[in-house]
Amino acid sequence: MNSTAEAPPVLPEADDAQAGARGRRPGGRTVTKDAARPGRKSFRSRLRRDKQMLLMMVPGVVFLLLFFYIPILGNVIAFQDYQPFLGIGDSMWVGWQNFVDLFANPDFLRAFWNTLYLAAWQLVFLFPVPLVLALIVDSLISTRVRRVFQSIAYLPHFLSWVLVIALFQQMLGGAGFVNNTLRQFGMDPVPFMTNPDTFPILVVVQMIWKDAGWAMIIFLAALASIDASLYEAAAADGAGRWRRMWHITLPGLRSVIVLLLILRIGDILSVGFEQFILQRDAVGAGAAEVLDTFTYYTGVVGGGWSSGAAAGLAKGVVSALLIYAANKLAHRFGEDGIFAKKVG
Amino acid sequence: MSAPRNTGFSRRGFLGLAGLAVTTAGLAACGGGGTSGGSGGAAASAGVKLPTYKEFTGVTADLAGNSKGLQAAFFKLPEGVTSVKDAPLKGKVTGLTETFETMSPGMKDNPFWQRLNAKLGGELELQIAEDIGDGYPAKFATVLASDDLPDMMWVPPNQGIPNVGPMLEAKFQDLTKYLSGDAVLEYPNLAALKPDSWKTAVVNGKIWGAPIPSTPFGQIMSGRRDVWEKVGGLTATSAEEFLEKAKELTRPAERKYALEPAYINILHMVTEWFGAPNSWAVNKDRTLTHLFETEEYAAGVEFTAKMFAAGVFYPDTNVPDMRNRVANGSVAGQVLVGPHDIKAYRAFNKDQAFDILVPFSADGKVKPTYDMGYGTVGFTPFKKADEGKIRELLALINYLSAPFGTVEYMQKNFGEVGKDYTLDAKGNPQLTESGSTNLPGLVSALNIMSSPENVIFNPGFDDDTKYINEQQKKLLEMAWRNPTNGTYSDTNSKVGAKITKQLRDKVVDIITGRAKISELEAAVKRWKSEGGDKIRDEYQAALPADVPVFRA
Repeated sequence: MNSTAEAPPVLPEADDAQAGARGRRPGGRTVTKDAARPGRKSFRSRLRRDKQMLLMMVPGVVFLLLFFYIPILGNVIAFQDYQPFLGIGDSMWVGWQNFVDLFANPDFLRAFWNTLYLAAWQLVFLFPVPLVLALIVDSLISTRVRRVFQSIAYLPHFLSWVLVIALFQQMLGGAGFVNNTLRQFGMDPVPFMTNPDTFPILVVVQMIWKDAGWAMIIFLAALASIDASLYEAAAADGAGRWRRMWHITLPGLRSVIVLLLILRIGDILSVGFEQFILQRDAVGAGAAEVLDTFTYYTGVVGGGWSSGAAAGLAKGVVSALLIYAANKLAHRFGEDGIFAKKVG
Repeated sequence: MSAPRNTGFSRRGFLGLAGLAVTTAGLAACGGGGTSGGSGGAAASAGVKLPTYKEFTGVTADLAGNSKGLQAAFFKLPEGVTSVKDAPLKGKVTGLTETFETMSPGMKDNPFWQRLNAKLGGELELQIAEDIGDGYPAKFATVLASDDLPDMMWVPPNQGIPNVGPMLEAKFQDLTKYLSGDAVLEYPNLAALKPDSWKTAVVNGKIWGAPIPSTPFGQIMSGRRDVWEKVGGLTATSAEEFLEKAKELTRPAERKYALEPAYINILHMVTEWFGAPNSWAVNKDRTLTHLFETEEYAAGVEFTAKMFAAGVFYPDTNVPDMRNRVANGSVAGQVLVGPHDIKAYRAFNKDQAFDILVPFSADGKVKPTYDMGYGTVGFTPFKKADEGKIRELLALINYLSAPFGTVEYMQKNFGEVGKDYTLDAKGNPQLTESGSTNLPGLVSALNIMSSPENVIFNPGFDDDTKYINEQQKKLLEMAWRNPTNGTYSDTNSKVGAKITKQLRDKVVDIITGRAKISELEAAVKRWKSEGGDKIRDEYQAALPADVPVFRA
């Protein structure tokens, strides 16, 4: 067993959110798990031994370099008064001015606050759902039922946000199924989709519906890797269902949970883009403006490329700090986290 | 089934770019992004000699237009006359443009395109951006940044392409000597574009390309005639009466609502009833007051909020098929880009007539206003090149700007008879099956970068044509143009879109009850301090002497 590379499955909706914040991604994504640490060998012999592995990595590394690392250099426009027709070379340098303006802008601060607030909602109410789903699916005995359940749960992941929100509007909107039914019974309609105060709940419910089933897959994989003989032994010793879950299942999942949590925290400021831009008019910018929509409106729509880039950069820095802090915390709990602790 | 169009693209879609669902406060669509010249450019622009206007007299309209803006109208297709003698191209030319229809097949698989190339005598290769996602400005910015420019690039005035002035000077060809004064007569179809249209192609005292005329009219409210007749027609004697009618038409149990949820557009209609100015009011001392600063605007916001509270708006905001809903009667009123646009309903509902609301007085005393539009969708400048190439491109644009009723117009908009379209019993063009695949996407892209003066032409619906003409006359009686049209403000091009968006976000909050009307004042103050006042100063300095004082 060598190192395993896993694509992070956590809430992939965030990918589109990078409209203005070109590809600042927290940390590397290669995960070293159960890393057997071999005795020191010479560089050349290791090179020879891992030749095939290294070759296989080349396309991925090139991809990351081209589309994630090189574009990072473009962040210099955050310190310029960037004009596309002048290019990076000829645009004027303005130093920290874009950041000064940004932090004096109440809209940016509001977007920042909204992002944190929605992120907290997502972390508390969204993160545990795939785990619970995985445990339920894992406990199903009939493989057939299991497959059907699994498919139903993860298929919505493949629907675009436009469709998801259209579906929610058809059901819960002011002219949707639920409210029309309420009216038929003479009751007042409920503004599920247009109430800014309950917007975080709506957002989380939509996310659960769309992505929880997808995020469950990773937990299912981790569950499958737990040695079945442990359960048999425990059952033979008279451990009940809950005891087995507490003493075998959850400890077995611990490293995966911690890992996903760290990745999630690193990505936490990317709460989503389309989901919010599509519902911004319904609940107003006061509730639905997040960092990514702010970046879009300032940078792309407003032509303020530089202040958009500055907002994206600020977000990237905070994300990097968060991921670092989360990783530290993981070490406290005796887990490897993303960057394994140096073996001293 | 393909309704022939004479414009080839939906200008509603075009304006839709300004925002996702909520579009524009009328002309502010154009004021929002705004092209810009360098400082002092405005004064220079006032000095440039516009191309000589020489009307196209090859065909006679059934209903004549006039210089005030009334659009010429045709009941049937005139016998085509030739307006261009020689094929304009010698080789290959490239261009960047945008389509508002589903993309057509590429040149290799598109016989309509190939036939057009044959007529042009060369190869017209276009990069066509689609009206999705970040849309045209993003595409424009990337092409610009790549420094590998095509020969021609469409420059829209209202999509917020920033710093147009310095950009033009850096990369594009000054066409003044080819087009100013009588020089334009060498290109008769360009000489047939009106001076008002040309004004929008002048930046820093230089002419940068041929303008692309669109309807001179601005937004109107429209609705299905039989729906409104039940409550006495799509008109009122006061805002309150309109609200009563709207309430009557709103029956949620039957899933019927009075107004589309485009709050900013509806607000625009309401402020006209209150007599608000078209973006800017010229005061007696030739200073400017912005729409946002007026009492009429505040009154309009308050009344629109009252309408929202009364529940007459469709209750959800993301509604993609609004035109269809109006056509089938489930939503009564919608705002369109101009009077000509009601013809689009006929694609959904052939059997019903649609009304155009003429602004009425909000309280029976104040004089209502009607806001005319920007009049063009920008211009298409050429990359710097030698005279031979520039002349070739001008000849091409001359061909593509051929007026309605010419052979070239038909070639560009309908293709070849028998192959791309056929003529019905009344002599009106109907696209063939292959025509309706090959044409719309490309025709839309061609028409957004080059166009003759627009005419009204609704083949098969003569009554619509007459009605549009009648309503246009009534609208013109109370019409105002944005006094800053054709002048430029640097600050507007830099921050205009952003601060307008900030203010509109607050206005939508107020209308939908998420904020109080008292918060409007602070929002306007912010708009002023973050650029509004500076924009005013720049426009004021450039104000043409001939724009009239608002309600003198």
